[in-house]
Amino acid sequence: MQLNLEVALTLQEFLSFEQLTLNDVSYSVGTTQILKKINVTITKDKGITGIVGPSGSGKTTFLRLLNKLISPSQGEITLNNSYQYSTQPSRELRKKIGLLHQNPFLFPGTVKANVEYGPQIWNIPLSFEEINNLLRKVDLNPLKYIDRIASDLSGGEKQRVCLARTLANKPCVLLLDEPTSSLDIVSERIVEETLNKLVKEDGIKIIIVTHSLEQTKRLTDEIIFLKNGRIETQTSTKFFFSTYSENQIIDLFKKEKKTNGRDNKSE
Amino acid sequence: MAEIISQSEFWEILIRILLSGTLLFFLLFIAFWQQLQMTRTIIISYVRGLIQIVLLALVLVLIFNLRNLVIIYLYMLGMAIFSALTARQHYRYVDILKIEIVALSVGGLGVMGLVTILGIIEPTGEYLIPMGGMVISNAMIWTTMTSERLTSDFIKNQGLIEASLSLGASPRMAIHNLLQDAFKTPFNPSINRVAILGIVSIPGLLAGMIIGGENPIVAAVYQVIIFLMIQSAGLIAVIIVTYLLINKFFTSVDQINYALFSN
Repeated sequence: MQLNLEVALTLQEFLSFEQLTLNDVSYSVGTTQILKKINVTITKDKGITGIVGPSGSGKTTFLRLLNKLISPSQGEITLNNSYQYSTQPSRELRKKIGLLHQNPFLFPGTVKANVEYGPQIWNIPLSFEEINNLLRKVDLNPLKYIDRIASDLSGGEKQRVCLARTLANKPCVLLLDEPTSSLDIVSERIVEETLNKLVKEDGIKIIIVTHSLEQTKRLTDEIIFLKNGRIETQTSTKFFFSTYSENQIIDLFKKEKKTNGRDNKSE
Repeated sequence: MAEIISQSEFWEILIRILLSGTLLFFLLFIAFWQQLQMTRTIIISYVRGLIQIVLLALVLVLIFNLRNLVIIYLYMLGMAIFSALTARQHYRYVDILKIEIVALSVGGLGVMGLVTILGIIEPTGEYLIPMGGMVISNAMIWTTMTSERLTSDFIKNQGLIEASLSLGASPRMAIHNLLQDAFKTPFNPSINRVAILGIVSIPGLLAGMIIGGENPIVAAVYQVIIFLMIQSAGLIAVIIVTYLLINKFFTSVDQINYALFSN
């Protein structure tokens, strides 16, 4: 009984997202340091935040930390200035700060079963109409898709079902790990449009990992550039693309490989 | 303790051994004739083998004559620990020894205790120890099959498990399907074996009891009882092993214990 009360209280407090703060956050696997003393604040008013950087720079790890799939080796993540990740129950956090994996991992069964999965965890009934709305939101015709077997869908359709499944939990923050990396251009644009609508219509904060500069330019309002486990820069997308020329940006990506050795030594 | 062997039996066996010595002599003669240079080895092996197996027989008589339930159950606990030590050698992700000891002791000794209390099995070493051995060794096979299946499925399906966790599922919810498959892995072949009992398979216990002079119907009923015992103990042990393993696969804050599978 006491436990239930606690859960209910926590969920209510998370209903509106203001900001996420990472304080000296490091993450290591064995002796390899993947993230090194990250200090950053992500706020709601900055719109869609893009996590950009060369592969291996720690972007995915960054997102997984925010979903509490993993915990920092050092440092603390704080939500809305008051809730420390290390003391908050993981499962409630994950519900409110949803994560969409790069690969669309769908559960066996129908599209409907997948969309219902999250609410079922929390014993929240999802009406037929709500499922339909979620599918429409990700641009899938409910009549056509609701009873399809999830594993039969195409890559783009699968990714959109995954998105609907995450949205069914009514998250206030959506973490996306290169959601369009394996999609064709049409599916990519559909997902991007959906994301824009989620921000405007549902007030969801979106943090997206992407390696595509074009997508960053089109979709994001703020850029956090990760390199070699450190934050290289945090700036508005407009400022980023007006300050750096394309070649300079490519250099930003490239440099890492050349200076990798030196960078490690300078620690 | 009653005498192990009567005087008439003793002389009869001695004569048989001496007579079979002619066979040994024949063996030695061939080895010498064919210049195999094995005469010494053959003699030593036979003397050693004879002493060992007679000693084993004596130990078996001692065990089978046991009436003290405490000693019988301690002996079975020893069986469980020895089985757990064997199971440990083939599992590489965590030290499964303690988990196996708990599972095999609770499953094996629990079921043996139940059949003793209910009076299904006579409370003597003659019945309890060989049956306990069958129950515990089968429970070990079950737990090994289940833990291996669960672990390999866990590693293969980490993406799906993460997807489920990231939606707020508890670890147990996230691996619900894997658990069911892991339970079924040893249970399905075992239940199939019961289904073909008597038509296709004539199990060792039945054959042994009939050769030992037991009434075939009594032996057959015992065989069915032993299957029930094996499956009950197996399921209990498997449930305990999976429960304790899951606790190792996940951390206290519902995260996958990645360190476990990284090497």
